Amino acid sequence: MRAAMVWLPLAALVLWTVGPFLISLSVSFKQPAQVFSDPGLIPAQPTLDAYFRVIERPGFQQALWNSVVIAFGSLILTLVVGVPAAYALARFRFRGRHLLLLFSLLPMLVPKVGLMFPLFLLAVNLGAFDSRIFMILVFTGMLLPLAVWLLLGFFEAIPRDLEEAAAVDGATQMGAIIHIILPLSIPALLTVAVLAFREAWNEFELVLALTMTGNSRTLPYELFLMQDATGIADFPVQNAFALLTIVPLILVYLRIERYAAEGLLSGAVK
Amino acid sequence: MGEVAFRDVVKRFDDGTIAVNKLNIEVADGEFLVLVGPSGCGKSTSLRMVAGLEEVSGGTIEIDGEVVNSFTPRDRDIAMVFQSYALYPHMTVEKNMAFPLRMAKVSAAEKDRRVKEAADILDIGNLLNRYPRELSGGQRQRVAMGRAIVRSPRVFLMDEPLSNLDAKLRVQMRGEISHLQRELRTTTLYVTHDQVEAMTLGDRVAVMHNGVLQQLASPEKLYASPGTVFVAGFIGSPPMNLCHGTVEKGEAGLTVRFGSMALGIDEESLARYPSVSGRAGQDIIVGMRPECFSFEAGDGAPGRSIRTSVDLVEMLGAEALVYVRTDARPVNTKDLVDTSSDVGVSEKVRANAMVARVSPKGLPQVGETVELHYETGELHFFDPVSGLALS
Amino acid sequence: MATGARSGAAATRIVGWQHSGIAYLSSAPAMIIVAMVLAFPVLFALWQSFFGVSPIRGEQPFVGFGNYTRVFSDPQFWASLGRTAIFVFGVIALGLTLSIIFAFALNRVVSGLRFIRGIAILPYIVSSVAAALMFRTLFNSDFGFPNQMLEFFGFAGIPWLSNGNWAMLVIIVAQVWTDLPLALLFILGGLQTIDKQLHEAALVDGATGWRSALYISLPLIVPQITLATVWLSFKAVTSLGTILALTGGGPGDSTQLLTLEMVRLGFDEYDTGTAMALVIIIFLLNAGLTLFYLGLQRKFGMK
Repeated sequence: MRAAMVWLPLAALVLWTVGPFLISLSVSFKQPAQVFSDPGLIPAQPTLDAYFRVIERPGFQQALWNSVVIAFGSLILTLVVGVPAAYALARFRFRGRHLLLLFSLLPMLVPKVGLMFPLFLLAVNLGAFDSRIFMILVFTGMLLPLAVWLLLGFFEAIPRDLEEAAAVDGATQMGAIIHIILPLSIPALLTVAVLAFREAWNEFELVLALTMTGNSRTLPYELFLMQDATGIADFPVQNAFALLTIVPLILVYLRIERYAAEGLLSGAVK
Repeated sequence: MGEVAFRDVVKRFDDGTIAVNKLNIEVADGEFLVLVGPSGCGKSTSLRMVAGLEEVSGGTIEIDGEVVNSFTPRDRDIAMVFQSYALYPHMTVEKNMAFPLRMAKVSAAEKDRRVKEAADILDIGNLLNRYPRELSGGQRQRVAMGRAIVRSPRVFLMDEPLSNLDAKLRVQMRGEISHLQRELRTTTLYVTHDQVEAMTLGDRVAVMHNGVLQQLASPEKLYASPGTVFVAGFIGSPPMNLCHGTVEKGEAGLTVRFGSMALGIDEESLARYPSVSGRAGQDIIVGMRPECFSFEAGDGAPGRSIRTSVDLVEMLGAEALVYVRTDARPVNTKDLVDTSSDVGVSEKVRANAMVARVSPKGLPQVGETVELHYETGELHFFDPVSGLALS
Repeated sequence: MATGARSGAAATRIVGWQHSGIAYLSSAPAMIIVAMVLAFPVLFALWQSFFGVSPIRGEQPFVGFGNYTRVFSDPQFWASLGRTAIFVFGVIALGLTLSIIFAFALNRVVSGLRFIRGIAILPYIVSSVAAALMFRTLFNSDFGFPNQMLEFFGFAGIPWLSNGNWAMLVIIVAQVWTDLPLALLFILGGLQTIDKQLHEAALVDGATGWRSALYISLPLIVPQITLATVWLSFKAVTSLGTILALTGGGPGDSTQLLTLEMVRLGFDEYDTGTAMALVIIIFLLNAGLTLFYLGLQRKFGMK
């Protein structure tokens, strides 16, 4: 009886979480007509037809490419810009340091839906509407405050002795960062990288606001548009598409689950 | 070469506290110099200023005659062993030791040779592929030493390198460091709060207190003629008994009276502190080494002993500590004695007692009245105002 | 140890490593990017909400609080605010219930915790659109799993997405599904910091199972529950993608929330000024709700 009180909720948790994936997976292996005629979880005649039809779509290919470019671009820019900023905040004392710390906290209160218009107008005025580079900048900005906080906390926790030892061992400041600080910060760097990648890969609202054509539109928007385009019937293609967008993140997350759980928690303030 | 000089060095922290005040020390090439003092006395800060880990607020620090105040640590050609060892956790022992050479862009073959050589000297050749987390405290300590010697720097700086080891290992490593330094003849600045370490290791010892250098001398000199009350109360285990007293001139010559007790000032002691003769009737601080007391009568001369009752007896094995009651006004030793080396006697007993270190045979009972004889030539005198030893 | 003397700031003091020029230089890019894409747009939105701006017409008359009064006098606004209230309340109620139950169960798991926790995190990595599509399939009235179940037991199927009330329920469930992982992790984190001895003491005092959970653990994790509430509420108030892809605001206007209203005003009617006013209202609504939850925690929390 008491064991049931633990296992029942756990079973419910797994069912609640995995259920929608399983049903989606099931539908994605069916033919459109089969969805109605064969509603069981395990398809009578499983087929990869839906996946081929998704992959063959030019819109999908272009959106996939855009997503890859923008997600990796954001990830790299976040690290390239975030690491020096976090290091400076952790190790330097300079006028305005506290102001900057506060400044980087404030945006965490700002919901993204609220940024759709202002950013749209900004992009139009800068001539950066429908531009992948502008989107990389935007997504980087969305995650930077959190990234800097995560890295800052991590850098501050690295004993100063290590840096001092590197200094007397003849390292320059840059040398100490490259040889000591960064290798020790790999868990934090990975967490930030994954969070940045996810941010850019999954973002929908801002893509909706900042893109016009297939040249810069990423997977979530493409998926959204296709749903309208395919009308009533093509559930297998929709689900195959949805699952394909999730796969890369699942692969990454399975690898770094233990960092991710901590990273998510440390993102609690957001 | 490796001469280090502090010239009027001052360190003022951002909050205004002065950690080091007008420090002047010259360290000769090849010398082993120990900086010792209680925590917060400025010894570590002084060392860190030599390393370039701390800016110098005033005065100059010179290495081989060159002012290095504005040099980055990299440009000073020094090596340092940290209290925490500061081994790089993501590198193997070999990589750790090779790091200074890598930063100096030494060729791979030369690097290997020198790491092997240093590893052999320290007997850690079998640990080269391990990571710091897989090592014991003593092994980590050796690796830290190895990383320091591998580069043959001008100066070794050691910041309490032994204080994270247990007592037994500490004694062993102490011997090894001493041996190693004598072999390499590299100028070494060594910081510790442990006066035993200081006395056993240093060619010369600099005792610091509140950022001020108290005395810089050889261990023998430091023990035989402490320059200040602080040094007298810091060096020795247990430290010197110090109390306020007055010099009296009687028929038998000079006597020092402290509380209800008195000791005659013998010729030998007077010869070392001649100005005492001019202090008749004045207050002074008198110091008596615990190990100079004994229960056996000496030459039987008058005024060579004190009578008092026993408060506490501590048996240490080869010797015993006998705490006897005194009504003399004690010198406030609170900031003189390092509590970490305290034998465990409460402040209260210590404040009203004098300690005698005696042979463990025929020990008295607590409460018993005893006669303690004091050796000739071992009395010490200090000015009660300035705290300086009398001339 | 003399290190006590150098306590305080973590800043390095190594000679030659403290150039404030380098500090400014290395933090400047991050600050510029954040200022450009986060700080500036917020101020810009505030500014624009006082103008009758429209990118199409190109006129910019200053209207003061005109946009706000227009919003407040619009019955559409009040209707969508009401729907948002129902939605947010539903998300918090369902989300908190589930995350507390699941967290308590997870807290009892010894082996395999990481595995189950890993599964529980999965929805966090699904984009709002993908989640919406999965729920469209799930709640399809012809072949969806809930209706299959109902029909299996002899009940009539429910028109999930074509009935306004049911559609509201579906978007609440979908929203909770996407945002549950973090709420769950918050509460689990709180539970895991509670001293196990407390429970043993309670056991000795005769409290068992749910009693122990109710009287001992729950009061101790009020801060984490508040955090979870703030998170769920924040995400619900600002939710757009899920609803847009799941119902598009329909059927009729039954799931037309404030955010969708904002998109309609801005992108469909090009009424930028009013849309910006709505943006500011959403900001303030969020801030107000957060303060409200913190106030509740103050009033009822133990700490």
